[in-house]
Amino acid sequence: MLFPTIDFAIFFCVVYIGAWLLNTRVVAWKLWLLAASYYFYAYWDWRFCFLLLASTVIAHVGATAISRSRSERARRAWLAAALVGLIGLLGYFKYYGFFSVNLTNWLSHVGLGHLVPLVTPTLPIAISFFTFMAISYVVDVYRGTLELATPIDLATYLSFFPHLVAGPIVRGGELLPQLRRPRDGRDVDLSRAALLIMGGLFKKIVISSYVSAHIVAPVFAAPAAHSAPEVLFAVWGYAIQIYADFSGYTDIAIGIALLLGVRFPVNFDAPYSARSLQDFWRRWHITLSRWLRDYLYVPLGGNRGSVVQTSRNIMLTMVLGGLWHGADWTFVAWGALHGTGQVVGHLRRSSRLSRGLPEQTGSMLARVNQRFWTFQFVCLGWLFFNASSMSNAFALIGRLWSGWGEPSPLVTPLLVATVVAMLAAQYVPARAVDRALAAFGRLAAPVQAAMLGVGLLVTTTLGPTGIQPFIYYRF
Amino acid sequence: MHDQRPPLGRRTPRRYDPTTRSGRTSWIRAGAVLTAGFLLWLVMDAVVLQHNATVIAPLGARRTAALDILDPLTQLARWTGLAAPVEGANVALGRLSDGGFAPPTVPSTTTTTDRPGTTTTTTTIPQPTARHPLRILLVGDSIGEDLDGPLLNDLAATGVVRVFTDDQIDTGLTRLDYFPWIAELESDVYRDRPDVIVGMMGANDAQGFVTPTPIAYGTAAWKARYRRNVGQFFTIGGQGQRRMFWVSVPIIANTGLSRSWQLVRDIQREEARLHHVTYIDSDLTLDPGGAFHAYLKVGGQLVAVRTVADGVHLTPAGGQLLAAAVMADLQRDLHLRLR
Repeated sequence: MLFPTIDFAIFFCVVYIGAWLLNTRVVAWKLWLLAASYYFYAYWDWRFCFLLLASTVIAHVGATAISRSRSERARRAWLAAALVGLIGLLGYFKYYGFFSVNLTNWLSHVGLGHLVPLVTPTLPIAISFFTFMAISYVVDVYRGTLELATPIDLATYLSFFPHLVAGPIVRGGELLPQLRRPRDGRDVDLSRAALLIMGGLFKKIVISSYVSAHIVAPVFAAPAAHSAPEVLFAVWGYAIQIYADFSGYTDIAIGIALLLGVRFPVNFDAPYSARSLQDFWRRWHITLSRWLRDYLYVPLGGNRGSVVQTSRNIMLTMVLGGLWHGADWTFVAWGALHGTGQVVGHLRRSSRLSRGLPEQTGSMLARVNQRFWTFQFVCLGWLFFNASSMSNAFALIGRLWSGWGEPSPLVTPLLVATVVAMLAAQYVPARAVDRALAAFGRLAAPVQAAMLGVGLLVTTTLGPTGIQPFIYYRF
Repeated sequence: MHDQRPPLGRRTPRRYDPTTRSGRTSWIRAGAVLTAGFLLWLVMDAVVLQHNATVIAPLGARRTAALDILDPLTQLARWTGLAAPVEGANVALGRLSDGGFAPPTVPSTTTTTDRPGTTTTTTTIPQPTARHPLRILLVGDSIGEDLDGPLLNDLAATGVVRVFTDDQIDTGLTRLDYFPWIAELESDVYRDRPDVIVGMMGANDAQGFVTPTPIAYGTAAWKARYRRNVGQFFTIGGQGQRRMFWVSVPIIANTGLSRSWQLVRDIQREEARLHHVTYIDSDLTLDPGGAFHAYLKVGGQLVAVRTVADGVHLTPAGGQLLAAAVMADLQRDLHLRLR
């Protein structure tokens, strides 16, 4: 069930009323949301529910065993078992096909032929997200930073439908306490929820769809047939498309949760205004960044070792982060590119700090320069991210060199205005947003309803017929 | 003591935090505002929703229920004038007032004199040059799109071909009420003046015709009507000196669905023969032995040629393989030297 559909609107209407009527009965409220979340997930394919259930059972059994074990050795063993189970499920469904093909090809080179069966399991939607949440839960229980949850609490936490399919990746410590107490039915943040949902719908239905259909899809499909300016705008356009698509989804998810009285962590913070790659990763898919930091980078050693060890840890984290997005060399290249950039940035910062200089220069011109080049580097990463293959990516890069002086009919004034407007939107001050929300909150209910209705009409009229799935659904 | 702060991000005060509180209201009032806003949109957009339900939704109880709800809403919207803004906006955006596709205004190039089987196509197309490139139009549905990307790339790389594409996902030659492919091809031909057309569609054709009296898939009436649509399409495609190539829809992972596509493939193959359209059997490239293959061995390497997600669409590698086969046929049949 996609968020921007009438099916979801009807579904949410029922869930909303039921959730608030059951608000004071905590267990009934959780069971209601649990049932709703599994129904939401089963809407794609009911068989996927067994996978979600299996992850929940593995996480629960593992965490329970960890908390009951007396010796550190036993706790470690249970942690390892739970992680193997969770990662095993993810690995089979998401990576088996990729590795079996590559392994078979490699084995063929050394004359060993087919040693692994070639199976192409269907990738269950949302598996990456709920697996990461389950892992964070088990690890947090092991670390003692999170107390053991009841089976119902854990199942509701992992399956809660607003975040289930494409995040944000909410930590147990953030969501589980909210599930255990009634919400204040007189304190629903309608203004912010409405802004997030309407803004998210506009970004997804209008901006993302337009940029994708107008330039990104045709140029990425056939680079040889397009000029260098078209390729350039297609890459910039993809940066806008994926931001509008993913942040749009997250905004809708956060808004829906707010309407149910549940708060999610922020997931995007004007990422294209970043002044460095480090800064970018503090602003882009923040819940994934911090997950990778806390459950991969820091356990690998973080920046506690030598420069080489730190660089290795950064590279490993980023490459595995790339691989998390999908089993393809283009994602590995994307992660490696970001890893390399981060390593270079880290070395540069360390060098400046050792000489008693600030991390970054702060003049106006320097800030503009830093933002510009950070954006271009991120776009280079997006080129690999969206390319259908490595050869496709290099064909695009090749056209950036050779395709100048050719006609560029796809680079229209509307496209340029859209890209510029979306980049400018990164610099809208928070105060302006807050003032607009406060003003909306003071309006009479009929006026608020009229504004929402007209806003929705504008979005659906400007958007295409039909809704494409969100980009992050396939991750 | 080393700095534990990692370079991958840290908690810093956010410039804009969407979870901070901005206003209080009760859940009943919030629900009422949202519901009223949604209902207002439903009425104002009813004309478009009705159109979409009519032409896009598959036949069945769901479509019937949607139309039963939307019919009175559409009347209400028109009666109150609430439909006017969206109808005006659609016209301004170049659509029909109900959001549908505007039919092309080009003059028809279809003739009825080209009786199938009575003409021969011994067309010799002059060897193209960069100055006088061969004009090739690629048309298709979503699987056609999988082929057309790599094919377009291969053709454009020759430097002597000018390529035009018109791929429309979720379309085909059955539901011309949803997407008018016959008129679209006439429009494409008028606009792009192709020397050659390469088409690949049919994956969405194994369904009934939506007519006042629905025509079920597979019936004699369905076959006659589908044959007529395909024939019309091929007539336009191969008119005059123009040559048309048709790529069959491939065998897919779902054997039941694949069997049901066979009728579509059979009719397309037969009509291609009657209309002197060169029929390119994608099975020879993608499904050797007439069986579905998710992987093929190419140059000693196993490559995935079909997407894991649906077992229907082509991976980029699959598209490239099929494109290479189509390129070979184009060169052989047209006596061209494209490389």
